[in-house]
Amino acid sequence: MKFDGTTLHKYTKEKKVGEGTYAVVYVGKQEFSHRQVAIKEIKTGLFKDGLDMSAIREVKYLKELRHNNVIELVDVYMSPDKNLNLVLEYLPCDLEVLIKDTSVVFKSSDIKSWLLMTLRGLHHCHRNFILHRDLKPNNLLLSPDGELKLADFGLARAFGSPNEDLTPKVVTRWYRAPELLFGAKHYTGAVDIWAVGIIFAELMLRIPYLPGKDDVDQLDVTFKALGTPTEQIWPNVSSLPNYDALKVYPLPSRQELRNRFSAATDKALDLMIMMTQLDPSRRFDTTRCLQDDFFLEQPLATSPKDLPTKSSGGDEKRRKTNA
Amino acid sequence: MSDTEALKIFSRQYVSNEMVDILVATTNSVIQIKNAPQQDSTKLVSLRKFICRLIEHSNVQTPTLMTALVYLNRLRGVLPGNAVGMGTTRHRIFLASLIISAKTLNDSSPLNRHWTKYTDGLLTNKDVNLAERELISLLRWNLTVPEKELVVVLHPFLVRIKNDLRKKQEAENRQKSEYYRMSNFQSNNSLSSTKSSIFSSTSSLRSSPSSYHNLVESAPRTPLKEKSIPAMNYHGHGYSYKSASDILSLGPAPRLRAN
Repeated sequence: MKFDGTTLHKYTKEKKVGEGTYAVVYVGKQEFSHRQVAIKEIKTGLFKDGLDMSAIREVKYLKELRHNNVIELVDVYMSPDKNLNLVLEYLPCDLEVLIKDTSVVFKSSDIKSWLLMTLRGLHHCHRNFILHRDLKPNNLLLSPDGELKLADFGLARAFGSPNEDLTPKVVTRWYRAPELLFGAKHYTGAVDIWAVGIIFAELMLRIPYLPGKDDVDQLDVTFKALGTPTEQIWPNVSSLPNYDALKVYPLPSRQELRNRFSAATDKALDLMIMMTQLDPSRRFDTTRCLQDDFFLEQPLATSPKDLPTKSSGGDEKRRKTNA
Repeated sequence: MSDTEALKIFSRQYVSNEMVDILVATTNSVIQIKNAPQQDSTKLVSLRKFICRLIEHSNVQTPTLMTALVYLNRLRGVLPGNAVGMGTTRHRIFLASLIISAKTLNDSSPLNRHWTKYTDGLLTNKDVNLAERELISLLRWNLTVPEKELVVVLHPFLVRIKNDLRKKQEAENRQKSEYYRMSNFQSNNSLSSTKSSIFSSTSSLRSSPSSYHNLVESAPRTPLKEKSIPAMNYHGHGYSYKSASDILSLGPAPRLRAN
């Protein structure tokens, strides 16, 4: 891998495929290999402040993390107009696209497979002391051969000590853990687990599980579904900066959850419950999740190559049979 | 004690003059400077003053400074030996290392326009941005700091921490053995008193724990030690650190990022 100016002309940008607040994404090719790549060009609107912090972190962490379930950083270069370009492996689909496409049928083994790959990628992050902090279906990309890969490390950071302050303003609202909603400045990998638990629920429901309209509503929606945290179930919760128990909702009964997730087996429900514990210290970590009986229960996870997928541009679905 | 433990202790220390010394010396060793004309060098603030002012304004913590130190060391290895800079080159190099370190480690880091302000007019926003870009390219975007590299760079500090702790441990051990010797002496005394006074067995029973208590009270306290032990063992989980910058990303983030 070369990270210098001489790689300048080694890539061609062919088509703009996406635009975010801080970057434009193109599909392109690595010239010498003809490999298809995604090129994320960082906007320099805030040029006054130099290199974008998110971009620096994304490069740093993706260089550290090499894993089948984490997007591969191929190269970094500065274009002649001084813009920063991240060359990433090209992944044509993401989980959000699939969840929204009602013509695609999810089998329970498919959901298990996506959850498993998400947890493997996340486990790799956490064991390298990196928090992702922006997990959502839209950031779980799918390769043509069905592999799921964690992407968008722009909010990621290293963790390691209880002394440091972390910003609670992370994670897209619907996937934000209760400790973040309460403004905690010290949190752990449990915030990522929460997000995965909510994604797990969304895969089963095929609609967002906790779609808060704004930050205040998010608290209400979250606690309506999962109960309001109290000192009893989460010691010291009331000392968090934005703790607020205006409305105290009871914890949902097993039966209520069963009704909501009618297709889930007991083991699936158990795992989801442990990933969405209100008290972060009671939430499962990635190791415990990966060892869960749910993954040993029949039907086993679909092998990646047999998973449904589609490319975000066209609409060719890949699963041939739904048998 | 291992280097890892010493690093953890070191990373919690306040920024000291010695840290500034090593930052100045390392920055000076990165590149030589062509002697500037007299009137220019009088205007130029010394590197040490410059660094102190940046630390003061940004309230940057030890871990961030020490990561910058690693980048400075790397840069020395990258630049050709005969490279020559101008009056402010070293200032630029130092600031760029600090900015990149802060951006990679902390959630709330000063923005480049703030850093520019902290230079007190020595550098423009454009200068600062350019230096940042050049440094990150020279480092080839290799920003991860492995523990090994930190241990090498911080060797003098770590040796001292390890020595201090060893001495403290030894003093503690001496004190402990002294304490046991005395408490044995005491309990032997009270035991013999139990035997002698058959009628007042309860009172003597009560007396032996109370004498024990007195001894504990009178034993000299070592608060430093008590503080340092939980700090050392805080990371109770079974992981080992892959990247030492993870350890170093400590310290309260000084200011909010102004958006």
